[in-house]
Amino acid sequence: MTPFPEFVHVRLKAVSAVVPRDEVRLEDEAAYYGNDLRRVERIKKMAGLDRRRIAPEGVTVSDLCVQAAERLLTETATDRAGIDAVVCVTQSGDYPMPASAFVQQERLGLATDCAAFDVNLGCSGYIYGLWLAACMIEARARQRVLLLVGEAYLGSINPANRIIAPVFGDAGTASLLEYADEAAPLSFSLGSDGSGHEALIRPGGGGRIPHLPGAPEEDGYLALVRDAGGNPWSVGGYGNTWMDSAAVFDFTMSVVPEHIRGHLARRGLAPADLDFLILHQANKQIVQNLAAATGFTPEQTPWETLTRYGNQAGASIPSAICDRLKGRCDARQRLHLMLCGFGIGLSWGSCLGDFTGLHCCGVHDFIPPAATPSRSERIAYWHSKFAGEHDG
Amino acid sequence: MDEQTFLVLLRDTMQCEGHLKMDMALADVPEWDSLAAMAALALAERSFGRHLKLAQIKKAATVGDLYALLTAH
Repeated sequence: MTPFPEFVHVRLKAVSAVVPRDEVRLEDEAAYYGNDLRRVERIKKMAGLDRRRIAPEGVTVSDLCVQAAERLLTETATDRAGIDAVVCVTQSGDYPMPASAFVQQERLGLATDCAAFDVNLGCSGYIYGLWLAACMIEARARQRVLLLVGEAYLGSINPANRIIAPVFGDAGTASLLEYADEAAPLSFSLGSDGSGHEALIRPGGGGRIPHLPGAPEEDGYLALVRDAGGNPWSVGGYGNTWMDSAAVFDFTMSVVPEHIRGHLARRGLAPADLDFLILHQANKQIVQNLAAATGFTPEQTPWETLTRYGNQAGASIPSAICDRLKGRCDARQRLHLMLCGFGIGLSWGSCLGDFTGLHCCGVHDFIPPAATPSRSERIAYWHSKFAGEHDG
Repeated sequence: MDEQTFLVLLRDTMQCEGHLKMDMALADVPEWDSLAAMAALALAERSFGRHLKLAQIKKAATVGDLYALLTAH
C-alpha cells in the first residue's frame, strides 16, 4: 500500500510573503493586443490575469525570501539560533551554484549547524517543501525548519511572449515549521508523472543542450521560433521557458480532482468539513474548475491572489494564505485547510490539516536596500576577485 | 439542453460579442482562441458532466460540432 503518513508532532507556526514593488498591469501591455482594450478585458475576465510583480534586475529570490523571513522571525519573536534547517524551493536561484539556501543562511544569521539546501520545484513546490520539513521534524532529525519558497526570474522572460509573460509573478515567502509534543494530524499526498516533463521546461542551458561558447549564433540555440499566435520561443537565452498550456491544463483537470478527492477520502473528510481549499493560483479557470469538480464552493476556493500578484509558482499558496486568510489567522477561529499545488514535472501534491493559530504576516512590498550594485559593478567585483585583488 | 439555450450559454462562456449559430465555423468566431477552448472544456465539465481533453475540443470545426461533443452521452 502507498504510504500515507500523518504527522502528529509538526506545527506550521507562521507564514510570510514579500513581492517586488514593480507592478505590470495587463492594460499597460495593450500594444501586444493591437491596443484593443476589449481583448484585454476579456483576458482579465476569463483567465483572471491582471497585475503582476516583477523583480528589478539584480533582485534575487534570496533578497525576497530573506525579507519575508526577517519579518516572520521578528513578528514571532523566534530565536534564530534555534533554526536547524533552511530549505529553499526555487527554480531561479541566485546562482547556478551554490544553492541559494547558503546565501539565505548567512544573510539571516542562522547557526552553522543549520542544514541548508535547495529543492528544484515549481508550482507543487510549497507542498513538497512542507512535506520535507515535516518529515525532518517528525523523525526528530530537526527541531525547527525555515522553508523559503520563491521565484525571481521574470526579468529573463520575453514580454512579447503572451503565453508566459502575462501569467507569472515574482515573490519570496517564508514559512516556519517546528516540533510540537502534540499537534493536529497533518497529512500529505504527493504525485509525479515525468512523462510530462517537456510540457513546462527550459530546454537550453542545462546539460542536455548546454550554452556552448561561440555556438549560439550559428546552431539555432538562440533562434526565435514563433507559434501560430506569433509568440516567440527559443531553446536558450532570453525568455527560453516553454509551456504547452493545453497539456498542462489537460493534466491538471485529469489528475488533480481525483487526487483531491482521494486525499479527502483517506482522511474521512468532505469539502464541507474544511474552511478553505487553497489551490496553486494557476489561473482563474483552473481554480474555479477544480473547485467545481471537487465539490468545494467558490467561497472556499480563493483565486484573487493571482489577479493581484500573478501566478507565483511555488510561492502562490503561501502568498494566497497571506493575502486571503490574514484576517482568519487568529487562535480563536478554526482554520482547517487543504493546500494543493500542481505543475512542472509534472508533479502535484496536497496537504491537509488544522492550521488554527497560524501566524500570518501578510503580503508586503519588497524594500530595496539603500544601494544596490549594478550589473557592471557586480561583474567588475568578480573580475577583480579572479585577478587575485581580494587576496590578503 | 436545447440548441438555443446552448448557444446563449456558449456565447456567455466564451465572452463573444456577436451571436452564435450552429452552422458557424469556429474559425470565423473572433473569440475562438485557447482561452475560449479552455472555457468550453470547463462548460463540458460543469454543465454536462463530460471530462474532455483540449485536443478533442480543438477538433471541433463548427459551433454545432461543439454542441455535439459537449452534449454527447
